[in-house]
Amino acid sequence: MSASFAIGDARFAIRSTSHAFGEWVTEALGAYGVEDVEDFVYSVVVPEPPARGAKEFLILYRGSSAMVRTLDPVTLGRSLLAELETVRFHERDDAVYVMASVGEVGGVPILIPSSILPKLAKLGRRASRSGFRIPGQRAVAIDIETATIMPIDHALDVPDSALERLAAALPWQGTDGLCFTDESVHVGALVVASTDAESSLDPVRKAYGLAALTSSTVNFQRVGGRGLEALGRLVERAPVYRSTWTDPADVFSRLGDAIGVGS
Amino acid sequence: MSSKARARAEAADEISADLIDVTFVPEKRDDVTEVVLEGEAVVLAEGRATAHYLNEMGTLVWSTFDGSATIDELAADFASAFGADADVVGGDILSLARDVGRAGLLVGVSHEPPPEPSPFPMGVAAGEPIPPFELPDAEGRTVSSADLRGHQLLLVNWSPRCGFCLRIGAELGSLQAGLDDHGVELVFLTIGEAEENRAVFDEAGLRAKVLFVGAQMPDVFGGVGTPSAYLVDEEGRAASPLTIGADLVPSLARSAAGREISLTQR
Repeated sequence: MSASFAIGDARFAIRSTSHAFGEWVTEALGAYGVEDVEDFVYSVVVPEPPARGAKEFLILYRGSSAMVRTLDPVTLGRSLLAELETVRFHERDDAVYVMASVGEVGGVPILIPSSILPKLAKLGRRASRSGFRIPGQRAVAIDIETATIMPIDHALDVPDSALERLAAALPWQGTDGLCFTDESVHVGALVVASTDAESSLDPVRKAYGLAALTSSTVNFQRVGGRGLEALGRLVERAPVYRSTWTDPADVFSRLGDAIGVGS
Repeated sequence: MSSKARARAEAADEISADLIDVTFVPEKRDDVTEVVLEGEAVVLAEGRATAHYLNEMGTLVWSTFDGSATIDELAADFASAFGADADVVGGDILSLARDVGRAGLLVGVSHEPPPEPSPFPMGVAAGEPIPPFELPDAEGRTVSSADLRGHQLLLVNWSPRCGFCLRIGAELGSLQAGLDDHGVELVFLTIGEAEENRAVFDEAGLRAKVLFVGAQMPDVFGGVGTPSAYLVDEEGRAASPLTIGADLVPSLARSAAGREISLTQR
């Protein structure tokens, strides 16, 4: 089943292997429904309702990259809605919007590039067994005043009960602990992507980390210098590392050692 | 005068960053915000979409762009202070002035904005590192992304079974000399067997480096289909947004080969 939508200038289609999920997304995004867009930006694979003990992932694809694998339908719905919020971030001035993600190592929030989410999604249960939590969303909002990562104020016209309806439509639950930002947090470290890293995790200069954040910021034209200063304060407080992210599990393990928390 | 009229008047007096020479007097715009961390700056002008990173020496030079001295005069001062060759220093300052000029940070220099972002940007952003890969070439030798550093690449996501790829093959072939002239190596990441790729490349007159991805494409192209491409800089970073489709990939190639000035995506 597929459905087409237009949010601002973005026209896209979502397809799903599940009729129930397709009906849910059509209803949830009803305010944006249009006809016949052929660009399948997102695809959602929903397994048959699992038998007891069976654990098959639901998968959210962006293009052909699996961005999110989860055992929980509501988590997948939440990730999809969070993803669609990003479409209009460039128009907003209520926060600095950065295409980066918050994971956790030993309970400490870590800011990482969202471009590695497909790689993290492949970790599956190895992630939670190793004590790190994989991000469930591909963008963050940074408070201009406090320079903390803040919950994203949802601007999409989606019914408040949308996720409850999804839980009713796909009534099974798994647990996987993907990270969403539900309260303001200070990040404990920033790890940027680099082709130059000499080991899987190298400390780097703070301006390097700030430059990496600015290159992923989507609304500087709205927030201007105040936004840059907020990013500067965030980076000032947190150690900055770079990694090629060849082996994310190793990166998280080393990061736990570096910042003094067990992963 | 309205703000739009003033902006137009100012724009009429501005020069292109490429025209900055050693007689130019660089002056920071007064709406630039600077964040300096450990001696290195990241700077942004109001209304601009992208910030600009300056290393320690760049930050020091940037701090002297106050509208009081020409680049030649600044070069003489720095050369004297650091005991360096004035011509070399002058070249470096000129290069920095042109860079920050293009970024819209200097009075009297026209800003050259980056391409409009797509509402659904795929792949890594311009300036970000291309995800690393190690793939075999036609002779079975393993080639890594690190091996390809040191010069610019036009990195193309390709399939010999893709009708759109076949449609653009001949044009890419015709652009190869221009790419060579501009120091841009054409590299294809392709599915399929060596033989079927060779037939397509021969037909198109292409003699590029070809790497074989096997069953699964590495995460280089953000999961998008063929054809798609990045321009990649000498350090392995995306120098263009991921460009997708049979219209835009040749356009990117033409730009890289010097046939077009702008990399702007339609």
